[in-house]
Amino acid sequence: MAKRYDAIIVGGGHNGLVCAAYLARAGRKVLVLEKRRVLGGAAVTEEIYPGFRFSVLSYVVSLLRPQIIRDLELPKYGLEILPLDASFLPLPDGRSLTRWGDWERTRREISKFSARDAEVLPEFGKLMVHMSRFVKPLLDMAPPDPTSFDPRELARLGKLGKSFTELGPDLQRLKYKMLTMSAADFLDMWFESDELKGVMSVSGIIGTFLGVRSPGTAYVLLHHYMGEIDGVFRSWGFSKGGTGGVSLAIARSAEAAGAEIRTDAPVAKVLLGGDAAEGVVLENGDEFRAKAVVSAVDPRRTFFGLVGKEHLDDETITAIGNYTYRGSSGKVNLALDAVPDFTCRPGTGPHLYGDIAIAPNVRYLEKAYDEAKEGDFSSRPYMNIVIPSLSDPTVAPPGKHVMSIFVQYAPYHIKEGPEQWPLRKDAFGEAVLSTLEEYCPKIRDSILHMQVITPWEMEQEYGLTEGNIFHGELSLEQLFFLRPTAKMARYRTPVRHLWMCASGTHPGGGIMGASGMLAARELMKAGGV
Amino acid sequence: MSKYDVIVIGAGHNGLTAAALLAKAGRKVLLLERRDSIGGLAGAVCFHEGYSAPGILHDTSGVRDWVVEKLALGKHGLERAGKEESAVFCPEEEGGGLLLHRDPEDAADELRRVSPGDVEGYARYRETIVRFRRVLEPLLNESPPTINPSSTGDFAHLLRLGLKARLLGGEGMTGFLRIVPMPVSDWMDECFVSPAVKALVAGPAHDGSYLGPRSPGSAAALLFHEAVAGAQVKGGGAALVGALEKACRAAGVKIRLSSPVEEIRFSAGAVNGVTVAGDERIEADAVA
Amino acid sequence: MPLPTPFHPRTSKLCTSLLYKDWGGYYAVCAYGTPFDREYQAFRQTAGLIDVTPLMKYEVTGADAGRFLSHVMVRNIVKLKTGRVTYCCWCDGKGKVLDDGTVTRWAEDHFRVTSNSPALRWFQNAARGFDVTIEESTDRIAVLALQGPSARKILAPLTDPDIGSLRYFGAMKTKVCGIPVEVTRTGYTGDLGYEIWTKNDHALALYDAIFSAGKIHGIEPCGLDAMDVTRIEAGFILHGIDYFSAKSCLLESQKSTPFEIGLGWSVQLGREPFIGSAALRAEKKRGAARALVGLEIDWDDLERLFDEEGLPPSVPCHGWRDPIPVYSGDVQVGRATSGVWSPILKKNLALATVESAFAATGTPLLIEQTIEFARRKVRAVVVKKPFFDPERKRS
Repeated sequence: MAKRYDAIIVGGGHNGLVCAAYLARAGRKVLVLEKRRVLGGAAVTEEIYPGFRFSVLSYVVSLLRPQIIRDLELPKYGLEILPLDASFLPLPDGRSLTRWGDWERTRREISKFSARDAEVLPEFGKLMVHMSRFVKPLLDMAPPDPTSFDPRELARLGKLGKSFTELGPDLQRLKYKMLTMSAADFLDMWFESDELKGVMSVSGIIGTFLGVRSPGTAYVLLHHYMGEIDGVFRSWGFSKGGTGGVSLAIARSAEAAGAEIRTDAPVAKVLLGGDAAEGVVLENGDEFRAKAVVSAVDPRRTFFGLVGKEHLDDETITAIGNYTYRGSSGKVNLALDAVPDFTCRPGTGPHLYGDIAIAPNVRYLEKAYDEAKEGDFSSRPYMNIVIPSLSDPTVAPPGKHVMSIFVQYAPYHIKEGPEQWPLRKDAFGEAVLSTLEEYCPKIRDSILHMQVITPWEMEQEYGLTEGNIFHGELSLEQLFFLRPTAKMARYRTPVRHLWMCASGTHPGGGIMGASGMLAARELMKAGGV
Repeated sequence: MSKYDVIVIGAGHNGLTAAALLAKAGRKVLLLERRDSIGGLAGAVCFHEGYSAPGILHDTSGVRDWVVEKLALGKHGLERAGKEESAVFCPEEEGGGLLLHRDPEDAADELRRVSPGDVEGYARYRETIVRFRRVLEPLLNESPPTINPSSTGDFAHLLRLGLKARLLGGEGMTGFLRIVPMPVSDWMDECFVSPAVKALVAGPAHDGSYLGPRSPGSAAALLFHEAVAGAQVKGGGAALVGALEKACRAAGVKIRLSSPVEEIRFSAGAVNGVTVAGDERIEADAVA
Repeated sequence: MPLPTPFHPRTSKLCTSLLYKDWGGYYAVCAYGTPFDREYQAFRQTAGLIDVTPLMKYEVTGADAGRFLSHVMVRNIVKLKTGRVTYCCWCDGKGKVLDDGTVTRWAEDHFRVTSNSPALRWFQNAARGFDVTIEESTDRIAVLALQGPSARKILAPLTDPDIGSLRYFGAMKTKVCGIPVEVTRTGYTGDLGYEIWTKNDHALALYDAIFSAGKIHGIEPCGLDAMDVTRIEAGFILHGIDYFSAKSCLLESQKSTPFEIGLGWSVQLGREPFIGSAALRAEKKRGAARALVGLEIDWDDLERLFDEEGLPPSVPCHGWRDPIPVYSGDVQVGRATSGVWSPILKKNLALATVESAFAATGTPLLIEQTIEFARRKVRAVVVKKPFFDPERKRS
């Protein structure tokens, strides 16, 4: 007789672990099953090269909900977030623009490009912070059902409406524009420096298959300012010991609350009894039963993989089939012998302590996107680079460094077909290096090891369908009460007792943990466990 | 020099319509046009002796029925085309091309020939459009609502729109909300199999916009176009403009051609007239 | 006008912010750069190097040194072994705290006491009848604190004999790159760390040795602003802020007993009488009227109050030290004397003195918060100190 649990979580990524921790703290018997040897999913640290600990995929912590940090007592279980101190934009013409934590210093930097922009930036920032007050409650609530006439749902909708009206007419109009405009167009309303606009607009496209001129990308700019109101000042940071540190802290917190976590335990199928989930069976045949099964893998894998099309109705199959992924990014991790030397700002220094953007201007970014639309990776991609070892020496041997490079665009659907990615991998790595070389000519000499991760590998190894880092595109039609589909937006699925808790549900995206927390709450509220 | 109630600047089809409606409502209206012919972008363009194109804007399917009725444009010579002329033809590099009717039954034969898999999808697509029309039509026939209602009237307006959306039913409403921000290419991928059908249907999404098929929001453009679309005007823009001109004259609008407006004149913070070329000043209570 | 410390030639070059304050008559760096996040993070993630020379130091020597200190201090210092440090406070005859500091036993007949305010006269007056000499060494001995998880990794390879095995609150004499120093495993950050004491003449060589060896381990020069954040996280009280020396108080109510400032644990009564012992014995029996507690301020509540004003929540990123009232319901039951938003815990923390009835862990209280020029009350709860207590501090 197999052991019986209240809930089984399929997938030990950060959301699955958050969900498990909340359930366990509420006294539920929880089992987490992770396919890989290591916990964390996409938020994982692995020693790919001896002595160097790479944040293999996700590399910065941005919006991890402060409530989760407090509720799960993550600092007690080892979570430490080191702030990114600066934002450095090297330019190919030998100039550079660094945005510092120190505003006056930033103002001087921006003034080199445009005194007008330097003047307006704080106004812009203030407005953005103010507007993020509207976004924040969305992140911390399960989405309401807009079609319901249930008074409770209407009250929730009303509350959203109220917080919108509180913005006042000017900001409401701006908000409306933000939802519909492109990041670049929106920034055009404020700034004139192409360099500043370029580097600011990229936060609108990260992880999407959109360009900085695509409508709807302006809204994401707000996320950049969320941290300011979040009780996590300067919340963009590195997790000590790599991003896996976040997952491990959550796992320790869950275990301390009594959750059982197994790695090397790939789930083959969800066990169904009639139209209800009853447990799971592992690839090795072991069966586990529970009152509820919570999937922390993405929607397509959940339904077409774990459940199987044969158990689903046409409507669900269509809806999940229509849910788009289209991964657009790759990752390159370097083990370095020395701190990289940028031509425009030689030597080591505080400009390297934060993130480094290869995004010289809007046109560069749009061109990179054009290549992706045609089914190729960008020959000169947008890159976001961090050197976490400068702040956290535990990730590399003394004096040596880890460079983490997020690369966009690397579309999953290359014209040769995604399964041909292994043949393109070297060329992709070469494009990244030769781009980097334009800014750091000597970078190759200091490389001890290079790890290239294409979207294909993200899917095959890390279970990210189509290499989408957010478990499905974060486009307006797949957000909030439409994530992943209108019928499943509240963590429930058409299969009774099967729930979802990962990034493919609201609010999704990044190491936020909100999906895991909200799913656990909904599950318990519904009496599912 | 006489004073007008309203001066309308520009005798394009919108200027003509506004002038005619105002005059019909008893206002003294002057319509000023910079060029020596009326119609603006919808007017006929004679580009070669004996050859006239039906204007730069030649799609007249969007003309609102209530405008036609209100101004009795039929009486002034406006005729609308039957559905035959509302079909779209897309030539193909090889083969006979694809003629797509709005009516799914009419389109079925053609589709069966080109892409049998899309017969059903096309019918479903048309159904969707018809359903969404209910929500979209009022948007076109009314002034835009304010997003921050300050009066009860504004609020009621918004509420009415919200209720209309809800009348689509749960699935209809979420479907609508899902499609609006989508790239039209994704929507087409969901509806059709054949690339030719996808392209043909999606075409109007890009009219006059800088968006490509992969741009989010382009689905909304198509939705709007489809919701608007009625029958074409026979004779195109030029015929429409002709009818509107007649309606204007009948209502007593004074039309002056070759009268470029140089500035709108103000007094005490309010508009009080215009200056046309040659330093001629014309007074009016309102300028549109 | 403040004086430079012996490390000034080095620290002043690094202090690009030019932010100094007067600490006991010396120039002390508040923050080397702006903002000071990186300095704070160094204390918690790598290692921070801070000049703590201005701390007042007294050398207590002579055959009766131990007995004398047992007589002055609330702790039984005779029991302190050579090569150990202890932390305690000393009181006036009525059991009211005068100051707090560390006592290190360097030899059978040599102790070093640190204090926040001048104490020579008090010690000398108390020394009548003891065979003991008390000398101030503040301006002869330069002190660096190396604090943070990498402190051992940086310091141990430089020392001979090796300080690697030095235990928490241990003290040893050694050499750093040949420079004679004394090392204690103590600090004011609540983390793994050392304080390194040397003669002024060796100050610069010592600084250079540690700083250059620390580079590959991410060492940062740190200022008082960063240290203030860490000391609150560690639950350490600050003289003149969280309590006042009985010497400087005009009102009886402003004075505190060790029990009232959270140092009751250091009071060792079952021994020969010492200064204040009778009063302290009585107080222990009676129970203290007040207690110094840790408060965790409810972030959600704070956010709600800001939201009511239509504002995003905001708290200063520096430690604050303006006392503010603490309530239970409508009744004021104490005051919070310092606090900070802890970057590592993501919590808004305060140290507060409250009536004993409200000091139990878990007691819900309210703390004043000014929002848009109006005084509001935010929920807070009494929690255990230290707020942040990493294992590495002791191990």
